[in-house]
Amino acid sequence: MGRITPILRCQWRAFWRRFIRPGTLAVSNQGILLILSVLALFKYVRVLNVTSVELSLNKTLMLDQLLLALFAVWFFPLTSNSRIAITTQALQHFPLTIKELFTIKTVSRFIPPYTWIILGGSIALTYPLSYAPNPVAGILAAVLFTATSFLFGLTLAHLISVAAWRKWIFISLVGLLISLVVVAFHGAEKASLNQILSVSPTKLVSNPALEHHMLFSFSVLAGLFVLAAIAASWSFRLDLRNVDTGPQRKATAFSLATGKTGSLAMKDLRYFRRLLDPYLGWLVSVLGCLYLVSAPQPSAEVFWIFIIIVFFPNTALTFNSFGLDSRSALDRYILLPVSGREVILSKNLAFVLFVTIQLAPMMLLAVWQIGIVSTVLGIVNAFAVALAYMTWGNLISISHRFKMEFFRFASGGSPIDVLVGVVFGSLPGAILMRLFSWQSWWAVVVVMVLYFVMYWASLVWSGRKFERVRIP
Amino acid sequence: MPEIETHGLTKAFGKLVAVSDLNLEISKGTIFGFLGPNGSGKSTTVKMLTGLLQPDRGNALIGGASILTSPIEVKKRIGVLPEDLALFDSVTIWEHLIMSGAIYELSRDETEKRAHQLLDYLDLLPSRHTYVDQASTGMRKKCALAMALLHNPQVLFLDEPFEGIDPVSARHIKDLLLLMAGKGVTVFITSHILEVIERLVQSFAILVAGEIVCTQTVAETLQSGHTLEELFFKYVGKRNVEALEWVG
Repeated sequence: MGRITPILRCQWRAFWRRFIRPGTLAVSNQGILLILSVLALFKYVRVLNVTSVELSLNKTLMLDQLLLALFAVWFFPLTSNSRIAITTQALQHFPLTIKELFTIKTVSRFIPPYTWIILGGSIALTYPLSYAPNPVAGILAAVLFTATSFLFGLTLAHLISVAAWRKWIFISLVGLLISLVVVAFHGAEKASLNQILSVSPTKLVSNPALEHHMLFSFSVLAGLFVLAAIAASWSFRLDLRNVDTGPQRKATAFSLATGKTGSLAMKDLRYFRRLLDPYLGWLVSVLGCLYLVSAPQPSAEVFWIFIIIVFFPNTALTFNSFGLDSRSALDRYILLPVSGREVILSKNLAFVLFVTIQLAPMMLLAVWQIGIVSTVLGIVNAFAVALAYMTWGNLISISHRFKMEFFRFASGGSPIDVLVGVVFGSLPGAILMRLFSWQSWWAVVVVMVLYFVMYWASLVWSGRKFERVRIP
Repeated sequence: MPEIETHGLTKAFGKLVAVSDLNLEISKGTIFGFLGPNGSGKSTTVKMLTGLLQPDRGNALIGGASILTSPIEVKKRIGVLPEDLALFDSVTIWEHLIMSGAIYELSRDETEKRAHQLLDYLDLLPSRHTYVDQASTGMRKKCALAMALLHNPQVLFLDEPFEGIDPVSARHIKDLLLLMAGKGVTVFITSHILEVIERLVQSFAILVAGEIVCTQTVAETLQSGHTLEELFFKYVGKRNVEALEWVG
């Protein structure tokens, strides 16, 4: 412990120095976030109260949902950028054992405050569980479940850093998705949330709390915990030994690019593929395709809504468009004979290309299923939404840069900026849908011109700012 | 007309004046060495001359174009090997050059021809499809150098070009710089390796605490009966190693 403590202390100080550096709560909307967190806390306390009432009546639906949500949130911070100062790779220079390195990495995950919030939320579950028929068994099972969730997330975070495992994880997720879709759309009975929860691991907590299947639940939970611990330790060693030599990329998309913006956009397209969030955009696109194929009479309105939703997971690509560029890469932009406007334009071009690829299958199916007119209107809708997203993105990504990591969930910046951006970006989509239904084509033209002017103004302004001020 | 001119170039970071009232004139086809200890302001000067930093005061002209009023024009004329190499992660060495060619408006065929020749000369051709973040320090440096040379610039700024480079490649780079200078390209080098500078450059300046303390030609130094190293330590000073008696 004597060797670990100074390193952890250093990690702690480095994190908080970075966290406090902005100086005021106004920066990155930290003050508003604080208010929202307090509001969310009140809501959570109310949910816990409802859960405790349910448990006292031997009902576990709310508890199961809470446990499922906690399982998911324990996964997210582990795959997102933890902004820890000293990486485990860098610590390998010190005479530390693998066990010590693993301990440092694991404990470091608890430095950021959002991990405390999740930990606090998990501990708070003991309150409703204390109203269960067997509170001790319920709390013990919840502790084991939370620890297993954490270790599972840790394992996944390690494995996702290894190229070969990334492929397997991706294939497994696609397989799982297809299975879920088959069950949901073609099963004998459509699965309800209750039915899914009845076979989920959350039952391993709610059953002991109700004094059902105690031995079985604890045996499985203990087994899962041991398995997750072994997997976390094994995957950590794998990640530590992993020297990603990468593919020998001979055929390159760079050959297809022309001009200054085209070649820079190719680089960003590659970066986008290496973030996890845009894959959720693919998921939405697949669901949109399934809707168009399986619905008896697909509606144009639903198709347009799917178009708007596809943009949601892609927010980081435009709201934090320099987030994947290192400090050194930002220097290269300045050294090259390109104007600020051209740099921003290349980012926008990459975003448009990426979203176009995501939307293309849905558009093609739409021509077949709902006709060419509705599809063209869908394209107009997508174009307007893209313009609005890029307008907002150009304005904020030039002011703040949140460092993002490959193969992690992205950061679109301050959550408030992202929320406002998503509303601003989706607004033209909603307006156009209404105008399409009214067949007010002149109004459609006016809206398109308005958003194009706003986009152009944002491009000029952010281009000038890029040339004058270095991105923080 | 000098190829590189600076007039009262000044840059401060808070209270620390990194470069103070820098005045330089470097003529066309010269290999110029810019020397100084760590933190003396060498890299800050290069950053100002290449557009990475805005000077607080003063101006600089590269080939007659001002870094303040015609930055894009200046960037088209110069090639830069920056201190931190300024490379993009997850982009291969070859792709960096293809991207550079497009940005400097070279045709695809010309870009590929030049890239092939440069990488071959720098012994980087077999590893051209390696991502730069997975390449060795030397390979990364050679990639950045190839990018600086690809568009055949009028002026080259090289920040520590020989650090981390193997002796064979270092020799090749020196030969190339001499060839380019012979054809009228102006080369501005910062380096700590005084022996290399002494053999390579025609003139030099020593910078201490942001101010030039000596400017002369290598010929003048040798005529005075000194080596460049002796002259350097005369201005920079030397620490007493005996204070570290516990070492070893």
